[in-house]
Amino acid sequence: MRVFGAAMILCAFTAGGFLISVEMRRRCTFWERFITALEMLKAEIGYNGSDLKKAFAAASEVSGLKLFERAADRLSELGIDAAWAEAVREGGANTEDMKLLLLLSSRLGKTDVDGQLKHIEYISSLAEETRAKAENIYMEKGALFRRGGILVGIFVVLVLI
Amino acid sequence: MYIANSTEATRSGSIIEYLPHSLRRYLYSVDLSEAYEIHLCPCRPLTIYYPGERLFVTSDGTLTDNPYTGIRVLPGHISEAMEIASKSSVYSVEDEIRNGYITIDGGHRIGICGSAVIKDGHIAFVKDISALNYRLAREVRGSADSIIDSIYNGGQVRNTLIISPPGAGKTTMLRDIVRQLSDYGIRVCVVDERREIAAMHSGRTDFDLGTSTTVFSGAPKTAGMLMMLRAMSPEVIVTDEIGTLSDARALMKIINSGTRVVTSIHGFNSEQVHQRRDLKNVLPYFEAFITLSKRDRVGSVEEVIIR
Repeated sequence: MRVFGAAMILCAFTAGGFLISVEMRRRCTFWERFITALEMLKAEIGYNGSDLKKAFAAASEVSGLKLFERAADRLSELGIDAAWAEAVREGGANTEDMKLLLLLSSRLGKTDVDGQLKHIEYISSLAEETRAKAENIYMEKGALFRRGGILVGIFVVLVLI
Repeated sequence: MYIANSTEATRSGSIIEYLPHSLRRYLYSVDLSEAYEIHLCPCRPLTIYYPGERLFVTSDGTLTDNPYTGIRVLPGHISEAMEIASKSSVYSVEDEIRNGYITIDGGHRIGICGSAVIKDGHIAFVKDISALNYRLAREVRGSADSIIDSIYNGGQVRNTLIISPPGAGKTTMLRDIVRQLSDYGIRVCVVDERREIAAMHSGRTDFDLGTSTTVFSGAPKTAGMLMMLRAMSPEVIVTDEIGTLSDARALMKIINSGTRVVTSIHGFNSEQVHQRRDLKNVLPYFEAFITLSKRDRVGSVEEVIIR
């Protein structure tokens, strides 16, 4: 029983450390995909003149992000601001990331093509900065949390024993 | 009295889908089958135009001729309507907005009034939208029955000019002419600059344009006609609202190539149109002049002149 208990505690702390590390990695991947989606948005708007519903659908397909698909589904019912906000909230991003994501709809669909492309480029540059920061955090702390989880688990087991 | 939602009114192509959400419920029990325009102007009542009368929509979903009991349109309604009409994508319709309208599903057209943004001497955009005019398109199969023999006779299509004041049904008439000529097996090409005749969206139309019709949508008439002449080998080109010197030159090129033309022009009668200097070189090429009016009803044929 003791051994089983010790193993459970060790697994719990190890899993906790890995989950934090995975979440860091997931955040990096999210921003990479978001930047890819923005490139597709630019292409759809700049070259095809596609309306936002079609542009979002293409961005979702290329990036694999459900965010754009959810927004496209609710666009005609809610309008761009509300549809995008709802999609962002459902995505479960942290507060800081949500602020940047919500910035996208501030001018999307509201100006001419040049204005749209400039706005998307601006958001893309902010997204790239965020992605780079997230990548740095993961590189610095990812391994720390993975190993730390194991070590803390061992420490707790030893203390309890 | 609250008017219940109507699923019939929300079917695809219904104009009500393009009105602001909070105004829709007032219109579900209003009969729009004879209406030709709906006006949205901030701080004024929601107005519907029928042949011969102007009525206002009340808060219980009925119509009245008293403007003071009509429901008021708010500035927020205008911006919401623009977002709906542009599908939240103003950039995708900026060419149309520059021309003062947006064409929507069903062939309806929303006229836009506001402040012009001028760049290099041209209207680049319209901002601060102050009013919207929903012009309701109507397909009336058979509206050209009384004149089709004047246009298509003995296996030949005459170069035809439809003369009409605004709102007298010339686009509806042209649409039926296209259908009938096409169903005779004639290769018809429609150059639809303002997307009113065919109202194409995603490569298809909601109207019956016959079995041998092709549509070139959104292109300037002059360039569009010449492109179609080269690309589609049409027997007849149909276009709407000619009026400039370049239109006239393009028409002459088309007619001289052997392709027939059916087109329309704003005017009250043949005599008035013949006084236009910018068209004097092309008018002799036309063989049939058909004048429309709204005198008895929209699309009344006032006069048919065959040369």
